[in-house]
Amino acid sequence: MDIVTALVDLAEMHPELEWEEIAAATVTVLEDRGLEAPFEFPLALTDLPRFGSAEVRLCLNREGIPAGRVARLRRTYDLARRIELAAIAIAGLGLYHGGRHEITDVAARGSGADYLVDDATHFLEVAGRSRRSDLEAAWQQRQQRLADRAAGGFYLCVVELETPSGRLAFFA
Amino acid sequence: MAEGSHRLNNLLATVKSREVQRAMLAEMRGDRPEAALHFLAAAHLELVLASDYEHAGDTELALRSHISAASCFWRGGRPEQAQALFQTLMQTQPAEAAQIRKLLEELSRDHPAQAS
Repeated sequence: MDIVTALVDLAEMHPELEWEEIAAATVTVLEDRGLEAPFEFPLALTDLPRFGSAEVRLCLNREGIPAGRVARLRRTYDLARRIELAAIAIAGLGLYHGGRHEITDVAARGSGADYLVDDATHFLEVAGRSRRSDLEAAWQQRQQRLADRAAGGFYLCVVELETPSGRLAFFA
Repeated sequence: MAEGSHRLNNLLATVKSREVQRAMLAEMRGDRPEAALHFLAAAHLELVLASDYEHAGDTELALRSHISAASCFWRGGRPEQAQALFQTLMQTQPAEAAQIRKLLEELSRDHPAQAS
């Protein structure tokens, strides 16, 4: 299933957070992979409440993100950080299109997660990897860690920017 | 909580979230002064939120905001203020003491420069 969406719309999908730099960082890493907008990003959605499971392909529009901002992001953040930020953008898009879920807050330090989702304040952990071969290990490690800490379910999103591709799942 | 207070609380919570996010972004790009500025703003906003939650009787959210405030003070370069807040929390909420000690260990390990 193709989902046409825009990085700039993250600000409306998740209005509690700021997305300007995250959206621009996402453009930098996808452009660095030689991709052109609209960027195609396969994402496996699994067991998302109000959505279920599906293999989707996000078609990311970059309109509204000025080239100057993209250039500044490339200068001010190293690649590993920009990949982390791109993973957050993909998680945000996946949550919205996979059941209209909303990231409502940054998770408290020590919770083991990065963000909180919906009024239910489910944990969301996000990870970005530069190599496809690292995705599975990152997935297993974080799933185990969150399972040990989170009560009441959690979301996990891991993306790799080599192919690129990603996974977003809810664990009850 | 009165409706007006609730609206104010939502607004404060949004600003706080964005301040934490701005601090973390500044930290990611290695801009310590900017990160400290936003972490300290977030810390003070968390204290206001914690007070509002306490008045509303929501002890769980109040605890979360207090812990977040202490963490933000630490990462904002005020470890003594963070320690004092953590100590108070461990005394008033002994059931959370183990979690708070673990968090202190994490902060000491991951952000040692701010603690010196």
